Amino acid sequence: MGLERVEVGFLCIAITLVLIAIRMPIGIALAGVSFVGIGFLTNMRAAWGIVSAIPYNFVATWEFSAVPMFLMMGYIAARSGVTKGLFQSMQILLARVPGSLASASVAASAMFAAASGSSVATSAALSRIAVPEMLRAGYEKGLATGTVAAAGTLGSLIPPSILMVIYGVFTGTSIGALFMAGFIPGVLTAVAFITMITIRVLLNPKLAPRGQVEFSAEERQTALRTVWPLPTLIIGVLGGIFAGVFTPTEAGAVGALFAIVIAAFYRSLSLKMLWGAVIDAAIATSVMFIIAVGAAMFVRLMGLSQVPAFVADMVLNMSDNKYVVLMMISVIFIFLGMFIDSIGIMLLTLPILMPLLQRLEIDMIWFGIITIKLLEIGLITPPVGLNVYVIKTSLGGMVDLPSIFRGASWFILTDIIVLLILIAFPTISLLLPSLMLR
Amino acid sequence: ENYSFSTWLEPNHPITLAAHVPWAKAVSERTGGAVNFEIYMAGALLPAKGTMQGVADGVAQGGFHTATYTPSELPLWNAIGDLSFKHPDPMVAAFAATEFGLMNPAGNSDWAKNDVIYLGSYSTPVYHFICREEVKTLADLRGKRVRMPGGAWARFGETIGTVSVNVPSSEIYTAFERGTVDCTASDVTHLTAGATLMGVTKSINTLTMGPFFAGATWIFNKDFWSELKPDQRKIIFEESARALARLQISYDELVQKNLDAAKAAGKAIIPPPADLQQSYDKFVADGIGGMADIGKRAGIQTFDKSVQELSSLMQKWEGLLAKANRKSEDELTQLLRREIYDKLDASKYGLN
Amino acid sequence: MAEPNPTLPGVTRLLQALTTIAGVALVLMMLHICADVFMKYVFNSPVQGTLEIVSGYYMVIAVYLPLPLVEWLRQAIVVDVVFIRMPRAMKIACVLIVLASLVAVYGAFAWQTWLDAMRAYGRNEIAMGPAQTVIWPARFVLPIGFGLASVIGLWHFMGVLIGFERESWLGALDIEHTGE
Ligand code: NA
Ligand code: NA
Repeated sequence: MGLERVEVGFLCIAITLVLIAIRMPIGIALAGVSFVGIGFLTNMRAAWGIVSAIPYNFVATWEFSAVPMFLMMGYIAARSGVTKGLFQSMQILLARVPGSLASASVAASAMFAAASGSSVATSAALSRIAVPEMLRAGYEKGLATGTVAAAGTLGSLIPPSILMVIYGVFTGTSIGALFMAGFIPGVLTAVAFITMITIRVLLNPKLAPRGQVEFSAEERQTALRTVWPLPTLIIGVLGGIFAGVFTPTEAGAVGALFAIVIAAFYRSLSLKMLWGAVIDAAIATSVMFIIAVGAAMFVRLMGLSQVPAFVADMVLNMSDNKYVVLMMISVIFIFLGMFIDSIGIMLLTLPILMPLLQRLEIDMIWFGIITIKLLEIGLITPPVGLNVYVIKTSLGGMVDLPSIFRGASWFILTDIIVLLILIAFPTISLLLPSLMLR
Repeated sequence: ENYSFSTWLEPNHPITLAAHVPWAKAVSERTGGAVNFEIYMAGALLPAKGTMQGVADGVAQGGFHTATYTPSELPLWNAIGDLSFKHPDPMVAAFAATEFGLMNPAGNSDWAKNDVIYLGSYSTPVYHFICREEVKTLADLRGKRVRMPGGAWARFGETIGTVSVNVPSSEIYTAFERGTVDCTASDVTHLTAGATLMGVTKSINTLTMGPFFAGATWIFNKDFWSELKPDQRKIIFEESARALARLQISYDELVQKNLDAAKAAGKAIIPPPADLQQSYDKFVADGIGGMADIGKRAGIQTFDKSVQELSSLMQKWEGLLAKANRKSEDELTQLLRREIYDKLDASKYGLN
Repeated sequence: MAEPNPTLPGVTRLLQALTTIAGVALVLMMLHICADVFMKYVFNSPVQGTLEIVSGYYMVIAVYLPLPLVEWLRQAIVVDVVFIRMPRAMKIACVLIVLASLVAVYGAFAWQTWLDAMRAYGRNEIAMGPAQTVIWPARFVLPIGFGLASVIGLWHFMGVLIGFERESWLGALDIEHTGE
């Protein structure tokens, strides 16, 4: 007897999913199955050889240094008090729009996203400030919380983005180009969210009672005074990449340093605050990379078992239309996104999808943006929606989980529309990188 | 039977296209499928730094390995790579290095003591300065941020006053286009492949710097190698000779193609100014920037002897290739077989 | 920052100290890269060895030294949507399977990376670049991280098996992840 290699591969995928379901940490499940699977497909010496080759070499990668740096930048910015001023000024700017506080949360998240590499960090930063204010103003709980959960997902789409760094390294796509590519889709998403909120509130004004519409000149000035550091950070980081002062990788470190300087201007810089941000960044780095190392081993298992080639053949037999294939991939991602975290999904599926994408000649920058968008949707879908959990955690007993998920569902629908637009019009993603790379 | 071959090079790299892929196909055909290599490219199976160890461990049965990634494991090959500065002819370097690795005891044992079977090298084309601005004179180069591959290139850069910057290959393009880096010492195939620098390049200063040859186009796992039948090893020897000839011819063609394309695209092809050439010649005459000391510091007892031996192999191949048709795959294959591969005993090589 | 595990504050402090080292590595990483960018851009004189030290030291330390604390505080990313719906006996069985696997995987990794570290040390492993950088010391970070994580897994396993940590392992996890 003896199993075909592809069968071993699929068996390994199934076992991995079962292990994840019984609450094995994702990184351990991936690493353990890879080790045993490679041993089974080749021999134990080779399995040990993969343990020699991957955990050290994978982590000791220059390009990955941007991940902890962008994390640190986001944590410092969140603690610097910049979010408060940001939220206030967006509130003033959007005062006449129905549901202005919700729309201001989206706009503030979009701007904060440019100082944060991660969605969860963006949600966390805004939730403590925006949600209580909306609840005080009598906003419906679902709307108040769902808005911040969904708006947080802009953190990964608007550069800088940790997910893009990891995607870029795994697929060999230019990280700088991905950063540029995410910009317009990110802004588009923010506009779509604000439009959706406005329409909903117009149709049902009870969702969001009208609050203060007029602001005094003094209030406007104060808001303006407190909001300037963020655009400065954005221009500093993205402008620096664009002007060639530093590479996208180096931008992480420069951005973290900028964030410290900004915190100092806000007089919110203290050793305690800085250290809290640094330690959080260290822990998050470790949590993320354990999954990534497991995934890097899983990539080898998949390669040896020939599953990716098999899947590519199978899908292409069904259809070789790239839009049909993208739809299939989207459905799979949204399904997995209900249960598994974004880095896990990306690293689990990319090795299987890469040969397929190559054969269909799908632009990897464009696909990167679609991937990020799909993963972001997963952050707000039940039952496992990390952004929703973050908001629940920061609010404690104020709101229950189902209300947040219900509020977020409107944003999921909006997200799917945006996704279809991104798939239908690749130019939206590819315009900026093509300008940059000529 | 299916075996794995691991290379960290991309699918469209000249070594993948001209050597590994057709080589694996020919070996499979001639052994009737008994030795069928599936090639895992772009580091999909083993990362660049882990390839030699992975092959020794049997993660893959064969692999492509660059000595630079494991300087402590391959001290001799790392130190001796600088010798291409003295003999800057890629075909000479590739063939002499292959003879050195297969037939010279010291050259062979550097690989053997890492538990892998060496089966031949390669050489990139010669290195030039590819720049985002026009670099005409020695003075133009001074103070420029130049991406150097390390080793003799970096030391030469120091003597002419360039600033060595270390940029990973994934970032060269961006660094070049944004001006984080001014020049790179590279072979000209990078204009249209790999980093694809054509769009961000203004000039190529064709000072001929030594090519890079310190690697193995093929290394094999010991157990795998010993389980092959002698006639299968013989087939691998013969196909390796052919692949090596084909690779170097293809590299020569690619260089011409790239230079033509650069000219057509209006890039300035600048011959090296006299003062720059003099600096290079002086650097080589002075012992390639202390190459001997570096070898000794790496703890290689008989480094001088090895340098001397590889150098005379390079002279020998300069002579042989001067008389050969460097465009004929058959002729070069025969030459490589006669001088090297046919001299190996298929029932003994790599088996003790 | 996560709440310290109430049991064994001494262990928590030790693991926090390791995480502190990782934090220091992140700060150094930031300063080192910024110094390199600055020196390159302004003085045309990069800090040699930046790439090798950032990847070979800071990254490895930042990823692997906090790992034991992550396991101690149970912050690794898990999916508990199926788990929380299981009957109690099945939950206990699953937790034990998961923890035993964790001990085995981290233990195996600790063992192999220890051998690799010793080999790198024996060869005085260096990284090539414009400057040659000694990189073997960072190799030892992996067996330390994996080894302690494995021991902590064993502690949790005993806790669930004997009972002193059982209840906390059967409930839903507070999701308070800092990352993605
Ligand atoms: Na962002
Ligand atoms: Na979800």
